[in-house]
Amino acid sequence: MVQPFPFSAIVGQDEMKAALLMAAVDPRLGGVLVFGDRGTGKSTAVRALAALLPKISVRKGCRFNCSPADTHECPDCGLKPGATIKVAAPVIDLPLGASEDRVVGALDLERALVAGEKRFEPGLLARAHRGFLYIDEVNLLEDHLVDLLLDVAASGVNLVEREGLSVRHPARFVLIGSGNPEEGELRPQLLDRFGVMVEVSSPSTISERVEVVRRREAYERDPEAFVEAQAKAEARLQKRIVKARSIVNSVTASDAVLEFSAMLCMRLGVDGLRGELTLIRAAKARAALEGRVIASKDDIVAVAPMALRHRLRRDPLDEAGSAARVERVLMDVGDDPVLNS
Amino acid sequence: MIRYSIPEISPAWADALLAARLIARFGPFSGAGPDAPLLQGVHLRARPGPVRDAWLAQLQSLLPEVPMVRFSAAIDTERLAGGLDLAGTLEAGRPVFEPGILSRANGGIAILAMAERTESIAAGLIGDALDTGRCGSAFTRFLLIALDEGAEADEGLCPRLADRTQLRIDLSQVSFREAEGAQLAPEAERTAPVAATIADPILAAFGEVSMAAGPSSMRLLLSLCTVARAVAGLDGASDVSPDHAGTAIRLVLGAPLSAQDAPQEQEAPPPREEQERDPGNEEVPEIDPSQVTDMLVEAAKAMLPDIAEFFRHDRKRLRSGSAGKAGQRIDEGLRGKAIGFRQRPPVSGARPDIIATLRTAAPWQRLRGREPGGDLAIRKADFRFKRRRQKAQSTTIFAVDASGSTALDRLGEAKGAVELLLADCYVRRDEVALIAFRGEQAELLLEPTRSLVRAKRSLGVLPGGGATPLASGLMKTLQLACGVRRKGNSPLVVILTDGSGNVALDGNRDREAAARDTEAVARQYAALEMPAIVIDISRRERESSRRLADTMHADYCRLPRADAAAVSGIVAGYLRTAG
Repeated sequence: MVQPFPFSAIVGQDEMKAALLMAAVDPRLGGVLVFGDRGTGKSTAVRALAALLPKISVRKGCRFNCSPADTHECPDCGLKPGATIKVAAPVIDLPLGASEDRVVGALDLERALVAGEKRFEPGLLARAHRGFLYIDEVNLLEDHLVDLLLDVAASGVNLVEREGLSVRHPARFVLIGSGNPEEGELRPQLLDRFGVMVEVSSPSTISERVEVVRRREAYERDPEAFVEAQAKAEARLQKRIVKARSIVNSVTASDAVLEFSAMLCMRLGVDGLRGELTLIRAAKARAALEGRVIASKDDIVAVAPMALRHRLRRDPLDEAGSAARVERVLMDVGDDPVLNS
Repeated sequence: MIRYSIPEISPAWADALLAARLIARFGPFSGAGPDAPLLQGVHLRARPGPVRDAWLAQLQSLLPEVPMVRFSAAIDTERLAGGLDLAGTLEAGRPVFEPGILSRANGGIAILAMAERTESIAAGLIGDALDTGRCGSAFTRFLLIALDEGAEADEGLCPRLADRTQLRIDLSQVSFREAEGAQLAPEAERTAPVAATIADPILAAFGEVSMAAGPSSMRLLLSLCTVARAVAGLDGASDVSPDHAGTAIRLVLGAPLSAQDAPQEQEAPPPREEQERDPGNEEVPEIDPSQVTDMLVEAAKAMLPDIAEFFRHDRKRLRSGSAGKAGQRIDEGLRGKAIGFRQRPPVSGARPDIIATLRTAAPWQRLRGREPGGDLAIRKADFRFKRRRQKAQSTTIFAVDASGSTALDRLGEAKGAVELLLADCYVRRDEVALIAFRGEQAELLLEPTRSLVRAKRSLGVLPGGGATPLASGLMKTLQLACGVRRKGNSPLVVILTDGSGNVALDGNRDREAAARDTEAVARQYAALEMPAIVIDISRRERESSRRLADTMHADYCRLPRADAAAVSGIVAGYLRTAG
């Protein structure tokens, strides 16, 4: 197995990397959507994340990645105390064209036909439990599958009722979608359900492009040595994630900060509360990543574009992107004397 | 040890042969070391025919026996990715897996025929296999040869694959005579490939070339580097020289060059013998950084119009690749409401319905000799699959009169209507297309799309003024609508006009002939039962547009001010009732 390209060696794309790290710190952020040009390292970053995530402990032989601490009923391990093993946190690729069977799981046809046994064959959702589920080209995915995925991602439970089976298993994962807006867009309802959205584009300077190629070539020439050389940086990053995870729940935001974010959402006309909640969660995750237990206004400002850009009411005749609108309002609100007092 | 026996060998064919040698040496076949550049894909643009066959034969003559699979773009997902072989499993009494076709290409070649028709899902699977080196659970490293038979400029390999095929060969200008003439002999002895390095100035020049090609993918730059190192490696050089770099630019961008505009340095590489005779030549010449950059960028710029063109088409192409599933019924899908059972899978990859299958098998159990309590005897013929009916997707085609008789502002409203409609089409996942007619003929401004981004770009430059080729507009719209129908979507034609054309189908300004042609085309709408709405945007009500609607069996509505919201409201209402 070839080792994936190290996360810390990815050139540029800071917003995407920040979003992925924040999602790794706080899965409740609710999914990351990466939209942009082809070949900008979207898949590379997600696959690199796998190597970065701390290992999780699971019950041995459980196909549902059950945590030893879980008390729910699992079709595999039940509540039996069993041996616990550490495995890499799953980062599951959802291949384009995957059928519903493969995603949610289905009757194990092999067993049914050969042994005459009725057994549930877990799908990708089960495998992604406690990790990440990555969908490249999410905008090309069948609508009903996207609905289903978002629903499971939000509820954390996969309910299968089909072919005479009735199975329920936990499926808590961070959904990561990527796509190219040129090939079709996502419905606003779906956009809103992704916690944060980042836009990526090819590097715009020659030096940055050249640096990308240098690292890529070095990696391809000798993956092991390259990964080895990055090992320290990777370990540092992993430590940061572990530490941030341990403090993220105790990060607080002052009333002034909360007011600031409410004002921001109001000025932008963001529908619903989801935007505001995500904004604050993301700010806290950012603070945690930096080792702080207090989220500041700067945190809000830093994460506002990714938390809000996809929640603005769409004006089809507005040429400027929604990111520009967020920036504009940020400037306005930032200058507000009352809020800054 | 190459014999270029024909002296007047064209640059295109020379490049094609060079590409074959590069592939033979640096393809994913065993032999090349881990630090050698890896060539994974060729985009071969050529009509099917002896020239293309000659190139493939040349390539094969250079290779040892390697596995080779060939499949067409219409291949189904199951065969690409692999899965359980149901019939085989039943027969053998144990699970039998059918490996994906790509895993069988491991260490060899996968030929994708009719690549210009690859659909996004197949392209995604192939691209993914190239990226990750696996197909399902099996490892596979293969060389993809995408046979692009696109006839029109806007037909071509989909960007997802074009991005990953490092070499681009265009054989459309190569004559059979020269293709037949030149022969490559397999290289007798293979020296260990040298891992050539790229000096900074050349890398920077590549960066500039990739930027000049537009806001494209980073993979173009990576391809340039890989191919440059391969070219140098074939030369036995340990550094990439400006010459190698120039060759790489040519091979990667694959701009078709005709003989006269091929610059001097773009000749076929010197035959090997020459270099062997003069080992001093192999030394890399002194590189003056500024010169190198200038030279390469200059060379690339010579091709840039073509490159720009290529990437422009890139965008247009996004939608054009659709597999030949014409006439596929919507009620044979994998989803939708169940409407009954059938014996054969509606699409490959469909799962049998267990209950219905058991029900079919049950009456035969005694006859098949099942002991009480013994195993069920199920035959292939017992399988039952659910039939499902899915709602068809709709495609709204706007045909807009952009002539002088229709004021420009109304054109603007039509544009607005398209965008408004798109903006609320997300929910239904409907598509919108736009045809404008003015001057001598009709023009397709926006192919059926769901993307607001693309719509805005195409609509940004909507021309207006001139005569009214109504007949030609109706004709083009009908052709598009029939295409949409063949794909299994339901078209809806919305015509914004004042109903009076003055240009005939042959392009002549003849009011009478124009009226005759218009009526003839309109009757075809009626004959094909094409759903249509005629929106009369003339200031004063005229008989002509109502008559047009009658002949077409279309709905008629008068909207003298033709504002965007009203038009999109009418269409949205129509789609709701129709859907």
